Amino acid sequence: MQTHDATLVVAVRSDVVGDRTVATMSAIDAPATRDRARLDHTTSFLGAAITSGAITTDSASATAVIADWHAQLSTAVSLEAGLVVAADLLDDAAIDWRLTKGPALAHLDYDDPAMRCFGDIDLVIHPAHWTRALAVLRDAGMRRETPELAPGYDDKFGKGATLCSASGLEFDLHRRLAIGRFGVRAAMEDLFTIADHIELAGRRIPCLDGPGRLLHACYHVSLGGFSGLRARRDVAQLVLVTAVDWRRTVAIASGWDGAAVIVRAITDTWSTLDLDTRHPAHRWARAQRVGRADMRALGVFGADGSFRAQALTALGALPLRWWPSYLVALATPRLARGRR
Amino acid sequence: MTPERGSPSTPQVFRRATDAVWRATPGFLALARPDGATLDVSGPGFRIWQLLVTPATMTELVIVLATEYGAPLDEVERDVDEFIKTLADSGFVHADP
Repeated sequence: MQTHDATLVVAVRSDVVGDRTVATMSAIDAPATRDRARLDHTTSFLGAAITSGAITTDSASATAVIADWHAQLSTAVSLEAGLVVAADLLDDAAIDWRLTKGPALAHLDYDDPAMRCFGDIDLVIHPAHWTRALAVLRDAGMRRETPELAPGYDDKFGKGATLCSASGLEFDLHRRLAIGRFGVRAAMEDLFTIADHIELAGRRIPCLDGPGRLLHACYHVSLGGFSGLRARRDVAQLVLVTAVDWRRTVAIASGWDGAAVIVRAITDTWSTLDLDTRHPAHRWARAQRVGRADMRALGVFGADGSFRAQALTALGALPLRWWPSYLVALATPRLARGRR
Repeated sequence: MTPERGSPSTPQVFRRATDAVWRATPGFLALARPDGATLDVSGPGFRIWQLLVTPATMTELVIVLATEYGAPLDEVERDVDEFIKTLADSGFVHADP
């Protein structure tokens, strides 16, 4: 179980539950709390909580937090402008894709998009278009951060690829929502039957629908390694504020043998943010029994195990004939140097 | 107040560039466009940007802001004029006609 900065917990939960808990951030603690908030992109919640009085602090720390927030907003709009360029490229190539996480949540699930900051753009690519999508973006000058572990690895087993634009904007292209056991079980086509949309720079951007966004948020909480408070806030926001059809999320995950991921994400979110346990989603989660193999796999991710350890959780979910190529790919010396 | 820009009978109407993406919070406005242009503005500019959700003339903006901030019209007009000029120069606001 991760431990979280107590001040940030108050900040992240304060406006979603509407409680009036007041915390103090001392001038001594402020630099470390600001660092954690910047890393997890929860500075917006910290800034809003200071503004509303849910967190009290000295004026210098308050000013510094607001400056951090503004810097993250500048990053967010630069990323969104870059997204519009990428959207044109993908659409011109007739690639089926969906925006997910950061900007999708900011515009669809938060009253004020300024409350949901992010440091990259996440795109889910239809499995049939994966290779072409990478080629299109590379041809446009984007650079892949780390090479594919082995030819064909991404499409067959991988989570995706991170691309960087010439101006340094980071795009995470998702072939799956996670590596390992729960990643390889996912039939990603299921996320492309429907879409929500946002408009950016006068352009219509396709996004995962509500249940899909919740699914991805849950995968991030349960399988994202160090997944901080922001990911848990997203789950709470989607269930409690947007009120997405969480049962549909469960149905999709169950079809992938991934209900355990949703169970873990909801129980973890409710416990971390101390949310009302009478909510039906929490009651459902508490009533589920997670099998031993799924528990073991969740444990590897929860303990923030190495990439290789997380990837190896896939073995039990892969056909035996695929084991050799999978194990050979994971044996690459690059992984020993700590690729995540 | 100084006369509106544009012809005497048709004051200029200012509108947001349609390709702008933005975030506005009290005291701060961040803008960007797909061509790579960016602009960060501190101060009351965020409120002017909010008001431009509907295209508006300089007079309309000044009257609203002077009322909200309880400031003299000529003072507000100077600030609005300067801010609109910054936005127009960087292509985040266009003027009609």
